Amino acid sequence: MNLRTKNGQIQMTETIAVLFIFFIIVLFAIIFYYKFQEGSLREKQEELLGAKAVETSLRTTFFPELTCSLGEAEPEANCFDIAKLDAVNKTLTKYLDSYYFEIFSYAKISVKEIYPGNNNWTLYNKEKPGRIKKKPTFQIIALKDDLASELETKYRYGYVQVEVYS
Amino acid sequence: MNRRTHTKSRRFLSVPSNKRAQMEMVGLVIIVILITLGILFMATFTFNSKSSKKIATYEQLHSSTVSAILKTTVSEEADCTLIGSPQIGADIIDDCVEFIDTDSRYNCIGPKSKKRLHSCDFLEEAIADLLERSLGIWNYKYEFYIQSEPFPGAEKTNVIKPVVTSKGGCPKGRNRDSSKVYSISTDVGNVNIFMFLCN
Repeated sequence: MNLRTKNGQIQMTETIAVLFIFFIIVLFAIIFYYKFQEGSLREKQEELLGAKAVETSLRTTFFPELTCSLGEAEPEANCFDIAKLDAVNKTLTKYLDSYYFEIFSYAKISVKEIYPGNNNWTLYNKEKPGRIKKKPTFQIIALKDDLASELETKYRYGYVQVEVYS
Repeated sequence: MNRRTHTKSRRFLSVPSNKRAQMEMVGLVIIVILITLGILFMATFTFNSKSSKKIATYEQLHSSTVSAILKTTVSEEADCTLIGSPQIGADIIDDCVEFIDTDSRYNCIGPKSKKRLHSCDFLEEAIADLLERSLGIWNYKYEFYIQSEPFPGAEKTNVIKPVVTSKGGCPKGRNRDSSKVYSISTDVGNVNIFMFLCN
């Protein structure tokens, strides 16, 4: 048979082979890009969750319902009043959905004393239904006890733990 | 027309018909190699880019830790010999710096050794205990310093041995963050308290 009459068919076969390989390469590139994006999105989600945890933790630290105060003077930084801690849970629970949820969203806030005692206070707890993960952050604070003694104010050492849900 | 030149240029530019398939294959291989190199180049960039982790939490954490430690009142169990409950910052540090070479006024029972200690030794033990039970449990590495400065511009000396995590502290080459310096004025000069935090 004369090959000249088959030239067109050979050319078509070549083109199809080239296109086939080209599309396989494009497919690999798409799969690679998808995997990369997936990892990148997961990392971004972790980062955002961490930022949300830090934001909630900072809000808690400067919460007027908890911070130590000196009469009408400025509040003491990094300090919670134990008398307020004992009383605030009632308020937070009562107005949880109507007011505090907008501030803290889905989170769990607890205060733990390390020295000298080991008291625990769970101030706020709103768990997200079907939550996937939670991220805890810690902030060390002084716990002011005005009622321990008539003569002096005592400070204890503790931390506030904030867990946010995603 | 010069036939020779014409033939020469034709020979230079044209591919012999029995070599065309091979030339096309070479072209295809070059394209595949270029695409592979491009993907590898992209992958190298992707995996080498370091995500800069914000250490915003450190800024509050180390300063609040130092502040809380300085405010902490020594427990009654420590049975410090003088009347009243001393604070670590206002009383124990002051006592340590003033009586560093002699018997201290406060002789409190250490939280770990359970022995009556000089205020400087008590300070070291109490701070180590507090940090271990908070930052240590959360896997933070730290270095806590108390330095005295007899007068402005004088060489700063450590009042107590720097309190460091058992897993190693935060050496200079490491990515570490420093708290603000808390200063206490005593009869023997200024005392500066600060700490480094790293992960």
